[in-house]
Amino acid sequence: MNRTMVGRMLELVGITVVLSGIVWWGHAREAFAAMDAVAPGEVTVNGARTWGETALWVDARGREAWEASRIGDAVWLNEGAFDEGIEDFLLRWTPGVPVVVYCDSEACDASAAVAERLRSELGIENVWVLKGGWDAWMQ
Amino acid sequence: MDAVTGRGLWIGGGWLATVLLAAVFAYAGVVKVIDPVGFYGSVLDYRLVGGGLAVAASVLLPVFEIVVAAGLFVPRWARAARAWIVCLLLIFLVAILQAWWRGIDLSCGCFGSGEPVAPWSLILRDLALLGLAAMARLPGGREGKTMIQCGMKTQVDGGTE
Repeated sequence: MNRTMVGRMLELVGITVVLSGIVWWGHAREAFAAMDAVAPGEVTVNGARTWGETALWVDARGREAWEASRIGDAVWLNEGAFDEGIEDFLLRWTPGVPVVVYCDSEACDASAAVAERLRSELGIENVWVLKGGWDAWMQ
Repeated sequence: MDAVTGRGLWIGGGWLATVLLAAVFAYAGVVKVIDPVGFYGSVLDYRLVGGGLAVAASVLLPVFEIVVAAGLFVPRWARAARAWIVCLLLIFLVAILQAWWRGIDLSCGCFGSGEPVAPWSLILRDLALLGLAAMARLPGGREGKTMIQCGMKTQVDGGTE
């Protein structure tokens, strides 16, 4: 590969950097800022993904939905059957590991309710509600 | 097939491969430029980079795809663009293979965010694009060279150094 070729390749990189700056200031910066805008105790899909397999996922949807499909190896813990599911949860839970609770969508409250009970009744602090829930994950 | 017909097919094939390759890269880039956050999620899926690097990649890479796609049609940058495309495809191939090796469910991210895709189909698609990149050329310019780029030898439009 001669110097001219390398020069041409670097020119393309330079053009990319300039155009990327335009894209960033044009709309990407705003999009990433919106992504990070979460309520206290919430985590975004991308944020939760950075925890990878270390997080314990909790599915607060109905049992049928959980049986049909779930995020990773999520444990089922529904607010309406909290006592039924808590045993499985405790078997899987390790102190210090982030717990991510999700329900169907942005509109549902089940994940927030389950997360609150985990905090208040079991004293677990590292509990997060997945922003946008299952819908956000599937997108 | 006489030499003239053969050359015509060779040039036509090169044109077609160039247009197809450019279309694929331009489309992939535009989709991801429109939804950088969705692509950011796909970048994270590969578990190769995170944080600021993933954000940078999710903005720079789509733009770069568009730039190299357009570059294929500019005589000054045609060879450089093709070289970059080969490099990118080899990098994508390595990323896919490492994810497959680690048992990661991929949504690919090739054309924005989406459902998980079987790794073998991603590899086949990548190899098909590498084939197109090997064929892609436009008449005129500095044809007839043998290039070695990113460890891949690409024979272009007959002739030798």
